[in-house]
Amino acid sequence: MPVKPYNAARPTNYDQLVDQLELEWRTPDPAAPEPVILEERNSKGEVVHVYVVWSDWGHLSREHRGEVIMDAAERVKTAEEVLKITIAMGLTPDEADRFGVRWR
Amino acid sequence: MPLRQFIQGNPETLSDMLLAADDRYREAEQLILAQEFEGAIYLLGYAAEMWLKAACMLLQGHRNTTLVKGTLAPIRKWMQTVSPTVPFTDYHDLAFFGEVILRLRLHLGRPLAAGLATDLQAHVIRGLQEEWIVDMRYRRSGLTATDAWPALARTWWVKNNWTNLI
Repeated sequence: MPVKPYNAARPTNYDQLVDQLELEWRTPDPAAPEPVILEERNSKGEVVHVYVVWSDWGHLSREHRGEVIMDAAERVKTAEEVLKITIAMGLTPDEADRFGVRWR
Repeated sequence: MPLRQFIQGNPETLSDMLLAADDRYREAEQLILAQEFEGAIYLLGYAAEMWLKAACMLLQGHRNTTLVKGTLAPIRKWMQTVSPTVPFTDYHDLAFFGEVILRLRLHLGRPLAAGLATDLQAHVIRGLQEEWIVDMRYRRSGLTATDAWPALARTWWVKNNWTNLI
């Protein structure tokens, strides 16, 4: 019988979402409608806020969506850059529209 | 508008959270007066949690309009990197947020004064952390006034000192 890692606290497709987001972040596909990654910079040009609009994580809590973003960020940015991020907000397209996020 | 629809359509800001912390604390006081100790302790823990989170957010430079839930995963990641040995249970972990405050102050070059740090450790990191857990909601624990009064005193300390932690 194989031994598999099991983390009950996380949704089953958590790792898959991190992988997908990492891929989109590294090699953005202009043809892909989602996920849309919005990086907001401070006056020094550092990315401090990240908003991701994505239909695929409607079933995830906002906390889990934030963790997906931060885990993906850790793979595509330096440790120093990751520490600068203070907002990681995951939204669905409906939520982004409702909250007035300009993402389209 | 139904509550669920309203809450989901209006994610809470730092400002909302501070109003809620005051409300939960006041309600907890009323429950203690009514000798409903378990409900009182439950609300006191939430009030303390919100004030601690607010202190963390303000130390990170957020404003009153910042959405609370967008800040939690970055705080966790920051701690995983800066202080990986600090345990994290969940986003209701009072000791974790107390430790975040200690480390953020250190990181900002403004370590907490010794007395304040000692009080934070006593009232939150060792105090409320042992006396409150969010999972208490699913059981009848038989808590009494002997449990409630110390929880009230510790949360009163948080209520009166959270701005000094910033």
